Amino acid sequence: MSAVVDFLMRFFGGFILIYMCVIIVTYTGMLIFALIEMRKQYKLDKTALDEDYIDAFYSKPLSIIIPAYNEEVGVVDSIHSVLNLKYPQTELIVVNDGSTDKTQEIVIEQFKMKKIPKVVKEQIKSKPILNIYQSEIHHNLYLIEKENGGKADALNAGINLAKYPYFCSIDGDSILDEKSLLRVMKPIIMSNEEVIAAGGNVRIANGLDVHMGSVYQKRELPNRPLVLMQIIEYTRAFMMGRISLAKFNLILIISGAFSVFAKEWVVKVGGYSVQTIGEDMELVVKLHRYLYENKVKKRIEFVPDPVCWTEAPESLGVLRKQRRRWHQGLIESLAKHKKMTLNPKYGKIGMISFPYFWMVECFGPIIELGGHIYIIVALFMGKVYFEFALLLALLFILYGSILSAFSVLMETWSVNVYSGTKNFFKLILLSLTEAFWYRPLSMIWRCEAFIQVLLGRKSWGHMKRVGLSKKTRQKRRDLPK
Amino acid sequence: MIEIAIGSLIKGIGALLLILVILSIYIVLHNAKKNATAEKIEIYIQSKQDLWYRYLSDEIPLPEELIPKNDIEIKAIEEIFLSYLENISNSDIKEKIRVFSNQYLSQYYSGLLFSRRWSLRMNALHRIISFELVSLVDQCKKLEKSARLSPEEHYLLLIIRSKFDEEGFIKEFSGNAVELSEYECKKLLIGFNSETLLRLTRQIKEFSEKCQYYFIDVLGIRRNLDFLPFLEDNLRHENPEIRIRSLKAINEIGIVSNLEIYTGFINSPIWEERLMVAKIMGTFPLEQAYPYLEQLLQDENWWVRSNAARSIVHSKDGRSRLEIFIETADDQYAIDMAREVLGEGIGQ
Repeated sequence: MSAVVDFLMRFFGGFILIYMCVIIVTYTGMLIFALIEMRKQYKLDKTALDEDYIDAFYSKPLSIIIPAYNEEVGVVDSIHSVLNLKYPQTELIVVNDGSTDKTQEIVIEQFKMKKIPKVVKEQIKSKPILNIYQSEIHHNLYLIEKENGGKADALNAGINLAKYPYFCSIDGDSILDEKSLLRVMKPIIMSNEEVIAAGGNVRIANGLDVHMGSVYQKRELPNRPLVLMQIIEYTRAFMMGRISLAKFNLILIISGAFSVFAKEWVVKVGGYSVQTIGEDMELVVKLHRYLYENKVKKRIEFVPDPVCWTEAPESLGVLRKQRRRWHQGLIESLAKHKKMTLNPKYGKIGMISFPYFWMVECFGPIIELGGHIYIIVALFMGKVYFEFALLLALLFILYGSILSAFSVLMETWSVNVYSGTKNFFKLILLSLTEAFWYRPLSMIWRCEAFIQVLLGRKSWGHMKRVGLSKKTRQKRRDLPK
Repeated sequence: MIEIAIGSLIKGIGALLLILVILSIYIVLHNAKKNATAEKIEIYIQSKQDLWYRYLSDEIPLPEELIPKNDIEIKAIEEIFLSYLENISNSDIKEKIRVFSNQYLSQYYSGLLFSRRWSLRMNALHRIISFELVSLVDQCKKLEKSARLSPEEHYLLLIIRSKFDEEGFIKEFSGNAVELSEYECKKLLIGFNSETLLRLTRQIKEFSEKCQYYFIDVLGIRRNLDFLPFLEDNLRHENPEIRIRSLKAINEIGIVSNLEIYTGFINSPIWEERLMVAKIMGTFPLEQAYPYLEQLLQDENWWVRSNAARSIVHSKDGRSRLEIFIETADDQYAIDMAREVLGEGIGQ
């Protein structure tokens, strides 16, 4: 009996050990690669570049779609931020996905929307559109009122109404930097349309002041560890993943909070999938799949700097739901397209991206959880496994805390979004604690997603907003609890 | 074995933490230095901006103190100049900036031009374009021969050529030695004046196919009536893409006189041609164009129908014509389109 236990302990211990080593080496490699990429742009005067793209004619006109479901708190700020964007030719389509709150009334009142008769060409199937409104103040602002069908369905309805060749989807609670559209469109314009989708870098805006849709430069970070930890997490994902993956066209996720797509290709793959939770990832995977199956040479890019500010959950409960939902989306997309895994027909995506996403992103939390359980069990089993457990624990610290701290460090060195010495130390010190509380928590939440998938649960995954501007914060407090 | 691994891992983590501390200190100092520089630049701008204004607007001759003495002053002057160039279109001020930059700043940028850092070279190239640093054109030619040139630098060098050495540029451009993207190609072409563009219409066959397309687009954007004969000639071209783009450019120019040239496209098998003609028809008096527009309003293609309806509604008496059409026609798609366009009203 004890021989069997001993074998199992050694086997699992060894497995997790090797897994952790491989992952740490991979991440370190990506971190160094990202650093080299970022440093290349160091001292580059970006405004000189931006001015180049602003001239109307050679920029491609763009439709911006904001799906909104019960977003009465943040929607006006979002619309203002989009109206503020520096981009020559845009139209803005707000899709009210059957909200039950005052989202629609607020938009209609604020922007003097008027009902218009309009024939919409249904290129992608969506739930029926009830009414279309146009603003009398901003003639390029439209509001679609439709039956509730979920975020993906709302986006599809928006795409049907969109009249321009490119569209950008922005979450109702996100705020864009005024130049972000120019920057995210740059790879598309410069590549002669070889790039068919581009995603921007998303940052957390909690604690920042937002007025009429502009994020104010004074970037004093909030004090809540949970929010700070998410800032670290975003930085980490950015430095150790997105940049390297995008460089080699391996990317499977561009954030749904801010990305641009060529409409033609999205229509070809049937738009956003209504059945999956992670509709943004699902669309990117579908696009990759389509490109390989039809042997089209196109690319999907991630742009490191266009900044989209989003509101991060401030409570454990909401964060848990969000993470669970994200992971559920990931699992579903990977499972749905599992035949792409290790299939040479799908080139790099099948041979590198899919295995990477399966092993690191998808099953990573389960293996990590296994590792944590192993450590606890080993502590009870005495000296034989104690050292093994210690070794594993050290690896987890290296993986969770040290790598995060280095991500923050390198981010400050190269881009320095949250400037200021105080902010920097706040982030660095907190990042060192990651392995001890945040990582295990998010690991458990993501493991829960597997249970959700098995039970087949779905939701719009709506999170409670507090709104970013002081005014809306105030409003929120005034709302009946 | 495991003990050794633990030992070295602890040491490793310790070392990493130490590196982290050292780098953190470095970054803090580094940022402090950066902030101090930014502050000095700000102070310079605040204290000298009035003097700069008086000099640039020709109130006073160049005062000695405005001649930059160090890099910080140069950077501050750079910011002042850029904001003038961006916000004020006064050719005298532009000229003064040009003369000053060529005299006092070119040495600084010449240094940057051959820097090992890609980003600094890029910045220098941008400034050469903005401040029209003609004195550095020869240096740029040297840079062109450098082996480590990135595509971005290559493109900026092409722009510099097109601005300061038009002849040489046109030669290289028509030889299509370089593969340019649509954006780059258009950006280069739009910089030329109308005479040069007109001259290029005679050389268009020497361009690569793609460049021919972009060239036609640029003619449309310039909206110069002189290009019309060339564009109308293109309508007989065998390449449909050339025909479609020429129609589009003609529509942009917006002034056409001979309806006959366009009626042939009403029955074109290519819907894009019908679409463009539906737009162009809107520039003719409705009396003349209505029969054709009515046919296009009943086209099988949604975009053609939509644009035909818009052309009608924007013409004089167009609304009443559409209302009559709705009552008498039996093509439901066409009627829906007419209804929509009538209802839009605002801002279309």
